[in-house]
Amino acid sequence: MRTKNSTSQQESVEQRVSDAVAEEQEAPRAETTEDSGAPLETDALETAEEVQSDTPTRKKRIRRKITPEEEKTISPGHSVWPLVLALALIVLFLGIILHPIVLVIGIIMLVGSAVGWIIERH
Amino acid sequence: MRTPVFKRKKSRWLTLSAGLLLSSLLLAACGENSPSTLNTYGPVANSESFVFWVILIIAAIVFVVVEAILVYSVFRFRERPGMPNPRQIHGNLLIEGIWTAIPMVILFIVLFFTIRGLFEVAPSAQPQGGQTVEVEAVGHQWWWEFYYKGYKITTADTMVVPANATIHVDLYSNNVIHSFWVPALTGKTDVIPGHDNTRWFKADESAIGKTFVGICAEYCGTQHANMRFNVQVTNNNDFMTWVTAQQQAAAVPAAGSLAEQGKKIFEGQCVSCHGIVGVNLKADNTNQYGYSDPMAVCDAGACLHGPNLTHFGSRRLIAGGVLEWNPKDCDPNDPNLLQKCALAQWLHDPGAVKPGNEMSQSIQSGTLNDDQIRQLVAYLESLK
Amino acid sequence: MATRVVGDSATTVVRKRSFSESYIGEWLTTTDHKQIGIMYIFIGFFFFLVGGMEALLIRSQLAVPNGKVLSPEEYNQVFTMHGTTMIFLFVIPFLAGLGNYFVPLMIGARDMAFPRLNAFALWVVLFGGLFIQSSFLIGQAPNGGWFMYMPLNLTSQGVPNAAEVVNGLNADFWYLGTTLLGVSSIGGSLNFVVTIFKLRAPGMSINRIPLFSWMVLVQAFLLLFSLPSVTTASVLALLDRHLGTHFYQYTTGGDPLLWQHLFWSFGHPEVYILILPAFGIISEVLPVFSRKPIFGYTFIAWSGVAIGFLSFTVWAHHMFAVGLPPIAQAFFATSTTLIAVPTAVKIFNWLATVYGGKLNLKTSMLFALGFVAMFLIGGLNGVALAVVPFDYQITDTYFVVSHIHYVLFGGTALALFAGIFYWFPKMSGKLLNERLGQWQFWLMMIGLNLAFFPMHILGLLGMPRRVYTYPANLGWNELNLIATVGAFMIGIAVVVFLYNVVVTLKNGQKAGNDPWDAFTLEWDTTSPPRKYNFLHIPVVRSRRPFYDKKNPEIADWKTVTH
Repeated sequence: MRTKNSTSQQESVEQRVSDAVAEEQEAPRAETTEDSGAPLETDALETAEEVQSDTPTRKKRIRRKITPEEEKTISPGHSVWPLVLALALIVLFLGIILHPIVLVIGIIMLVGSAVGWIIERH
Repeated sequence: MRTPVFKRKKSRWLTLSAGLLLSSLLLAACGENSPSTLNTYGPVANSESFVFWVILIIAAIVFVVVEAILVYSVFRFRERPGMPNPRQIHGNLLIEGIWTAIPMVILFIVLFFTIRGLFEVAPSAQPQGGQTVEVEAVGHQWWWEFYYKGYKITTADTMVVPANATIHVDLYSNNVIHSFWVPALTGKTDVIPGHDNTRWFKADESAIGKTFVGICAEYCGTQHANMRFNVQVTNNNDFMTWVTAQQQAAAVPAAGSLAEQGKKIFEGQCVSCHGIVGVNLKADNTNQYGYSDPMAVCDAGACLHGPNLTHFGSRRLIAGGVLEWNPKDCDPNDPNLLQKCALAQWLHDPGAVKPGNEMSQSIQSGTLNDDQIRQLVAYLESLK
Repeated sequence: MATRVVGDSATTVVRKRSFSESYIGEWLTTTDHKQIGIMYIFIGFFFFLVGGMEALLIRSQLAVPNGKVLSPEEYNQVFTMHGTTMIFLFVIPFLAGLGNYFVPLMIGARDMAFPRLNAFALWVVLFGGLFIQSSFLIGQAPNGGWFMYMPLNLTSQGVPNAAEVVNGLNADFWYLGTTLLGVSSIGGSLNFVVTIFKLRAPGMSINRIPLFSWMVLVQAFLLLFSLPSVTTASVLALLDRHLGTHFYQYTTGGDPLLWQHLFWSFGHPEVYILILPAFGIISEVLPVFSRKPIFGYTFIAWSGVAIGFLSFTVWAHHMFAVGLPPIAQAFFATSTTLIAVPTAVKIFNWLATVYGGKLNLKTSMLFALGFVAMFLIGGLNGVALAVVPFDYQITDTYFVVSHIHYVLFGGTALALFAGIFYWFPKMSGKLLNERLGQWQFWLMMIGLNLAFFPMHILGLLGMPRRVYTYPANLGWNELNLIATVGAFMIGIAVVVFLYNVVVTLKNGQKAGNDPWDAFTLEWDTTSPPRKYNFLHIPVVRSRRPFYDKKNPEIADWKTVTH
């Protein structure tokens, strides 16, 4: 169930990004599109080469080949665990003040959400 | 580029801050009723305020120079139509070096005065020889107790000291942290349980006859705001007279007088917290609090929590400096006693005067009826 | 750090809308540094309003002698919570928010290094803040002053002779709450350190990252090294209070001063934690509106690092009155005096940046200039506090209150507003109204000087801090009234700002991507930026990459080497 959920998240992100990419590939030519008025880095590749020729000694590391990467590694996926873990922590602290039962609930929540956090896949 | 009403408002602000600066100096100089740190009457406070004037002059020069450059730049380099782009300067090593060095020099001058002044007022700088009066000051929640070791006198709220003598104060607390501070005579020294700090100061000849405000300066709970005391400076003769008077046991009221009835009430209700030499304290036993041994724990009854009242009638401040009282307003037979007399108001309902104080735990409005208050006022007044 | 390009992948699957796609869920489960940054800023601002209300309560109570607005107990809770709220719940989250939003954009990264840790830190701040504030609901807010000295905050079991100590939950809320906030700050700081060290765009060497990122980096290190101290101190306090240990109990051989040393060895770096990113904001805003590069980048960056190191050596200047040996006091006076040098260097560099520029006096710039003018006062009266003999007189008086407010309000808060006016268009796509902005600026400048300047004099006239009332015969009445008027002017200025934000979001002027003709990478993308920030990760060849891109013929990398 959880795995399925996160996969669908990734897909949706990919979908949105690929939309955006499509939009931007057109935008630079039009330049009037309000949403993407900025000149985007369409010339990043050229720039990198230019750098090599200008100062070949200092800029060596940019020579690496630029590979397109998957969107999911670029934008982190959504995750509910940070919120749950924070809630667990606060329940635990409230437990210290209020009642041992609350403390126990807090500890259980903390362990549970930590496990959830760890096994969550991206 | 339009810069609306900028000039006018900037100069208004400048006038304002200049005005504030000037008025500050004036106020500091003339704040006569205030416990001003600049209106000083002793060598310790003098050297503390001297370094203030040093730092004020230096800071004022730096302030004026830097703000002038800033304001000048704002006016001079404000964007105007057709203004070309400025030269793109990224830095200058020489200039950086210069303006690292200048503050260094200025700050080392400040540091010189700091360290010199620090050793001038340090405990090790206490003058040897001459008359020395040793006082133990004990911070309570929320009043000050003063025990004169050499004379075996315990008093509260008012510290009487002779001019020109070195006053050596041992600072004790068996509860929370307080801070001993008499702005006109000396800066602060914290009164920390377990750390027996000391402080020395001297009052000048010119201070004779003056009374200075002392303040607890470390936050110590609900009534931290009302933990003041007075320091009364006298000449040596008056001081010795005062000492002799304070060394006597408490006055015994005449039989059948109002005051004698007051004494009975005192013996019935007040002795669990307050001590009076000759009533529930022995003369050589004025130091009741175990503060010389701060590790000692006071069980109920083993030490008294309230001020020693042996010579209460000779004091003018009560309740940790909240109320000033004058026997003239406190004629026990006056029907309007409660309206006029601070002491009567205190006895009527201490919690209304100083919410949260320890006495309000046992005395609320109605605990003592008006007659009892009259009798107690008469008795306490008689304890000169 | 290879230069990355977004690849296309097209998959369409028919499926149910998940929780993370609903509007609320989107925000609750986000790990996007920009959304997290915005939430941080909202949380910070919310607590700024809370702390501001508390400040107005304080000033109402003190407006006239023998004020009756609050009871002594209420007053003590309110002033404690004012300090705690403003320091732990306003400034730190607000700075974390700006840092979260702009550090990745400035260094050309797609997100923070640990997105989920980032979200976790955010939620802990929110819950921790609500946890501390919730103490008001049961009438037991912390009441020991924002530095919670011992043994006042022990239970009466630990201080048997005291007439009053804190037996209720008040202190527990503080110790637990700040520990929680510490957890959050540690997470956030780790994230900043790793992000800045590992995720910089190609060519963005450490001596090219924008100064705001530099200062956030130093701040992150300060948090990492100072928080353990206060966390330890708090845990020891809780043990003393509840399990009967004796760390701070003098009757059983503990030492109340242990708390002060532990607290201030956090507390003084903390002051720089609150101000360093503000220095960074100023170092971003001044050059852009002066149309010049920052003067002495290296000196500003390294003086920040110097301040960071020195800030760990000055803690006992908060404790000059506790009776340390004179030689130790001389040491701390020296280190405190020394720390003024790098601060002065910064101020001179800002002046040199402005000098000879072409000043575009937008609201953001006004706030930045106001910062320099006001922070100078805070710096100078700070040096006065390092003058030990004088410090004996004015420590724990309103002089100190004045100092901290010139530094943290005249300093940090003005810088935050400079940052907000500067970056709001990037975050929202709309320009804040300049007219209202100027109103706010002048109200704040006049208000803060009215409120805080008289406090210098009050301190010199012997008014101690943390008093819930004062008698009428000590000559403090007029100055207190002036301070109250000033505080309410600041309150009005904040209302103007809120109005400005609402109006702007509703129908503000569109900003475009680069409204200020700025120099750094965050402006080289859309407003607001897309989720992945940059389509192509930019390649950087100088400290002003976007300036280079816009002015290729006079680019920095052609004219200077750095």
